[in-house]
Amino acid sequence: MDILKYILKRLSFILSLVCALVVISQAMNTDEYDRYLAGYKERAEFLSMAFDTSSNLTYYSVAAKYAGGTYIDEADSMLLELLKDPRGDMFWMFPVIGAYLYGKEVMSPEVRDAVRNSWKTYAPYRGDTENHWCMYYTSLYLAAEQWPDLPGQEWFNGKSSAENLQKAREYIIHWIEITTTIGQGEFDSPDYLPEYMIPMLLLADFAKDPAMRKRGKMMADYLMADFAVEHLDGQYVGGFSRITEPGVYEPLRSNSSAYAYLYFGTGEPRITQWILFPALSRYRLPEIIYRIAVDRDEAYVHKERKRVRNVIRYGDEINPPVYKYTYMTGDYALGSLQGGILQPIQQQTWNIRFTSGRPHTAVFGLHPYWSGYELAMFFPQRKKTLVADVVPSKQTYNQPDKWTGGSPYERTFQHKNTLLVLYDIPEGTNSEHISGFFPKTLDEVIHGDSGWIMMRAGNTFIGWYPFREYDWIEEEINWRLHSPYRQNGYIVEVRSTDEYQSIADFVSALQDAIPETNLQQNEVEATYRNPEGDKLQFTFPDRRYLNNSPVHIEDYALFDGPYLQAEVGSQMLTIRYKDMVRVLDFNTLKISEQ
Amino acid sequence: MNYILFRNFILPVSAFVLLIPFVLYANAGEEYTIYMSVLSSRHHQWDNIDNPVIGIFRSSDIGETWEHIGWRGYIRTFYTETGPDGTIWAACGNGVLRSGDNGKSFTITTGWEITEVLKVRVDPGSPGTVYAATAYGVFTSADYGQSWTEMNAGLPVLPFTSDLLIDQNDSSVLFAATEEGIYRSIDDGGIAWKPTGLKGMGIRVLVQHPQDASVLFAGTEDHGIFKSSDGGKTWEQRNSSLEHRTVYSIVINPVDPAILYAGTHGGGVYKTSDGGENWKQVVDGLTNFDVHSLVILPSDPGIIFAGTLNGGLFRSADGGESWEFNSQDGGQVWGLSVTAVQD
Repeated sequence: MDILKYILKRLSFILSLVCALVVISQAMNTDEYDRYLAGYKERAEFLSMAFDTSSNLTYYSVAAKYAGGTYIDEADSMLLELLKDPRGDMFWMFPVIGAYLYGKEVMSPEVRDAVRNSWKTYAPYRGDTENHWCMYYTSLYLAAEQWPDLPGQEWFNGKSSAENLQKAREYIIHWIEITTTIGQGEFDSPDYLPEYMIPMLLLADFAKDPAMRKRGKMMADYLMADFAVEHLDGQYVGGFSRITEPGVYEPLRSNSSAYAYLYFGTGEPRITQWILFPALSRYRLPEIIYRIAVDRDEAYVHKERKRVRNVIRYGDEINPPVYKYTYMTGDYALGSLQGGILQPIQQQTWNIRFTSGRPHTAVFGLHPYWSGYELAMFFPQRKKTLVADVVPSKQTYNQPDKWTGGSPYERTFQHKNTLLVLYDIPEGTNSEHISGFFPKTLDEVIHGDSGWIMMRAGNTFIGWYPFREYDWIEEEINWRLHSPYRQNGYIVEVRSTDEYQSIADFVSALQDAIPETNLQQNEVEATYRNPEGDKLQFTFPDRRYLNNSPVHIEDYALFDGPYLQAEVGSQMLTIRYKDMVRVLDFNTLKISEQ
Repeated sequence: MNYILFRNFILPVSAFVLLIPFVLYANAGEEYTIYMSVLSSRHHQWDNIDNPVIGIFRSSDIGETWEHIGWRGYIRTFYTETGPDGTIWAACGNGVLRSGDNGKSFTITTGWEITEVLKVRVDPGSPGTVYAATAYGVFTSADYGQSWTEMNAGLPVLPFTSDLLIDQNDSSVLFAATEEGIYRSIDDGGIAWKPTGLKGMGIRVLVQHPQDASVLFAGTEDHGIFKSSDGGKTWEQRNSSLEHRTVYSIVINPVDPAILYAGTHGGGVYKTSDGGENWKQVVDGLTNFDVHSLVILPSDPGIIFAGTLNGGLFRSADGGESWEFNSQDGGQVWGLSVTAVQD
């Protein structure tokens, strides 16, 4: 009996201790999030102050001044001046309605009338991309809410307030539905994240309809969670639907990095117009998303399913799926898209991004492809003149040395931190070579006798095994691998000091890891066993075997990783971090937390 | 033999010769307005609002002067057409626009579901019935654009439609120019479609003979010109001396329908004087050879306008034998149409 009492006493003591530890841990966690919120506030104030005190004639300066409340007269006169010459289409719509919403209670009646009148006299173009439409309809929705009951002649498009509100609402709900069922089309774009976040934040802050406010908030969570799982030290990582130069080789120059700074406290501060509305917003990043964004203690595989931008011809379906695979660590990320043409012009099929060697923290390869046929899949103009139509606004599109763009003749197969890339380029294609980008900020580059090009970026080791001969060309900030063979490929291996003590050990491990290849036209294939013993067999374009078992990428969920899970068609996203869970249910517009 | 000669040659030619005075009489003295839709321009900056080098233009003096109407911004206008009641319809990136006050104001009749509208056609017998050919298929409205209905049943999975033709004898019959061939409407009003030739070809333009509705012409991407003499059931290639086989536009001389003009990619304008049996290139004075749109003046069929991709508008006063630059330097003159001035 005494023994039983003793055991019970000990048990209760241990239980109390565990409870106390849990409470302390929770308190510490709460303290950490409080510290995060305090830091966020400082960063937001710093960013908005830059616009509040600026005399640059922009809607962003105007919005900041109205929100700050100090320079109202200056904001009024600036806005009147700006509204003399509205321009910019959907890029005009959201900052002007944003400035109005922040200032409508304090601006002069004259300015208020001028804003209203601008929605009558200026007819903005709706655009031809997903982000254009998101900005256009979100702005139109908010404007129609502000000025209800007006007839069609009071609006630029001849529709009444009620009609504009209804049509805009329909599109916003449609966009959310398609994004949460089959994925975003302009997915994971380091450059275009703000074009979605700002409309959602304006909805979350200013929509009069509570359901629309909720949608805005939930989609902001959704977009930021999507970013957080592929975030490394201020950079968006993984394959991208759309990225431009210089962000493709200087990742912190992308607009999403300004968001990483504001929301995650990583990277570097950047004063860009794209960060002003987030900095002013009442939206706060949920703790769980912040923690996912900054915890890189454990390496993980994250898979996603997105969709191709609307295919209007030369295809079998309007939105074929895109399969993403990303391997995340604290030092580097290796990510790839499985597929061909997903987005013309600005796609990046694969890359490695790492934490060392700023500003050029990326290595990647591509087939620099362009064609009118590709553009005509997505744009309605004539395919024989489309390249000429596109080049004035996207100057690098038809350049053989460009650093962005997808190709139907490029395919990837990734398993953790091993990537196999194959090319089978028909004769006469623009262009007939492949390129690789290697920044000069790499700490070491070794062209070994084994055929492997070995590199080190801080704690990250990279091996690149080209299947064909290549030229190694020195350029201003990088070396360029140029391999003029149409049937081609390479292996990419990435490891860190967690796995190998030195680059010499890594070189040694790859010394005998030589793939078997067949580089005949229409028969391009490779078999490769990595240092961990995994065997990858890949036949162009889409036959993949891992350790002799077929890989079914078509089974990918919308999100599948330790932190995010969502099934195709579900309209639900489950966010997990340790014992925290947050579920975004777009079917019921409910957020549940544990 | 003599009977066949009489039936196939003497009779039609006689009928045609007899018809000429009537056609000329019908058009004589009638005034026409030409509508020009400029999709983009090398001289237009993306965000430059007050630079009216794109959008809708019209001329009531045979191209001597042009008036810009409608929105001045970048709304991507592909084509403009006037209905029998004078309502102006424009096919735009923003949707289908309508003006009921002769261009003073425009309304977007469509919502977010309809975009990239390449052509709009108005039923000549029912001005409130409108069809839109879009990158996402065909849509129709029976109430002046108040409401729109998708009509893609039977069209290809990706129903990209560049052009629509309303049968001049029976406006319930439509032909659609898709990327997978020509489709003909079935059931009244074109509720559904069935393929009716040139399977697998990208069709750019469809036109109908002004006097014989069974004769149709189709311009294609890469395959030249096809002619049907049985209302679209069968098609025969008509490419003799047509060196440039991507054909964006075709117009038929209303007075002498044996004369046709074709706007091509890279080859400028081609002309036939024998109903498409033989073609000759007529490019004297053209400085841009990507001719996307053509229009012929009914009251004086020797006057033809040719809209180019990035080279602006050209005019010929001698039946295409020579051309003069008219306007819109650097512009993509995607669409041209002509309409009789309303009394």
